[in-house]
Amino acid sequence: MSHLRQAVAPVTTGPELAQRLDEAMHILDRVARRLARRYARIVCFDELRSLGRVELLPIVTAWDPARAPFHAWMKKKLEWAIIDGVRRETHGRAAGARAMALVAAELVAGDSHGPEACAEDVDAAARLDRLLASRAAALAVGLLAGAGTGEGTTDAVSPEEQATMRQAAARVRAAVAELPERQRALVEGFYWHGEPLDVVGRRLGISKSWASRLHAQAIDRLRRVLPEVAG
Amino acid sequence: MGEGARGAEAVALAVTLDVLASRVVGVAGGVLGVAAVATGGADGTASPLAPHDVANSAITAAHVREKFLRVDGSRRTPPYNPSLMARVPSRDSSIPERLGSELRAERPLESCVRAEPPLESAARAQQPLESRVRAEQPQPLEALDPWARERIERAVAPYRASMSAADLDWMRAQLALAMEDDPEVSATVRAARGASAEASGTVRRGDGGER
Repeated sequence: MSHLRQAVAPVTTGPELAQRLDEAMHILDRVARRLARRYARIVCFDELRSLGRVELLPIVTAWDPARAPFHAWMKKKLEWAIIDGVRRETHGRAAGARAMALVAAELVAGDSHGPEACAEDVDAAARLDRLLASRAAALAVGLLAGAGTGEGTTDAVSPEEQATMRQAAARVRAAVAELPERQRALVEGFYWHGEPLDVVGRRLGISKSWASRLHAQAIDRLRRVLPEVAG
Repeated sequence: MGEGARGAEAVALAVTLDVLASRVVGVAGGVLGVAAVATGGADGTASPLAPHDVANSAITAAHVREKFLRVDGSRRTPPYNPSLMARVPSRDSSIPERLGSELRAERPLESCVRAEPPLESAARAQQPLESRVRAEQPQPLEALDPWARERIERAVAPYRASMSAADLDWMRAQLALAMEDDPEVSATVRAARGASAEASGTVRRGDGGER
């Protein structure tokens, strides 16, 4: 409930704030609508919008024009707020694994603009393959992490498939144990202990955006290792 | 008034009290919600409140207008709405905090999953599992061309041995959605498609290329 504590901080008032809030509501609708397609059959549009609405005021008042345009700032921050909320609300529930997988994919998507990616992917087709591969890896890690903690998906699977997924989940745990110390701590805290990314980051003494980057690096390493351990 | 009528009255009173007791949190939230709406208009009547209260009220009032007023301006009964009640502003910040946590806990996210009409679900139960899973996939996957499908298959291939068929299909659908509506991925798709079209379909003039 930290958002409510932030909401009582002094803020600017007047028509400018009202105008910003109005604009922010429209941005929130668009963000929630986009995410609702991703989270179809897991979380509905209204609930996604509610998760974003709770954080709306702190995000609007924290906007710094020197750092980013208003629209880009709101879009990014609202996406963060919503996926954090989804992770918090679905942890340990039915369909939690898919929600987890989507959160992981969104995090990877939000952190694919690094200089390494630009230098590596001169060719558009190669870049596309790399983007899709990293998202598939994030989805797979999220699903397998959920399978390892007993969180389910919404579809029925056969006992054989369940056994295979549990084995793969165990191998993923082994692969995670081989990650560098901070990446390992982050992946374990985020996927298996259900901690939000900023909480894990604080524990590790890093910012949320740096934790996100670390997460993307961990997924990239697991992407290279997963096919070997999965086979 | 006879014995029977008095008994019926007593039962009605008991039921009413029971309902009131179970909804006490909702009633408290409703009272605060009305206060929020009353102070949240654009007429500047919220001067006694702190700036953050005004802003919270503006959000809530906009939400109420959007949710509960018909196009013609007539009102409809507000349903019990935890997400709205969680937005109640107050000088005592712990009140919305408590209300928010209690009310939100009463409505699990699974309740949002759309229920199928009974007839439709019964008919679907007769179908084989494979076709049911396929029918539940979002549309974009079906609309993809072989070029895009090939790329998705390539991304999913490493996990074929470790995932269920349903989860693999779900991953494919998610990647298809990303190709369609994610700004970065869809821009890369356009760039890659342009490059491949240039390589395979362009007819250049000169050196025997012109007929």
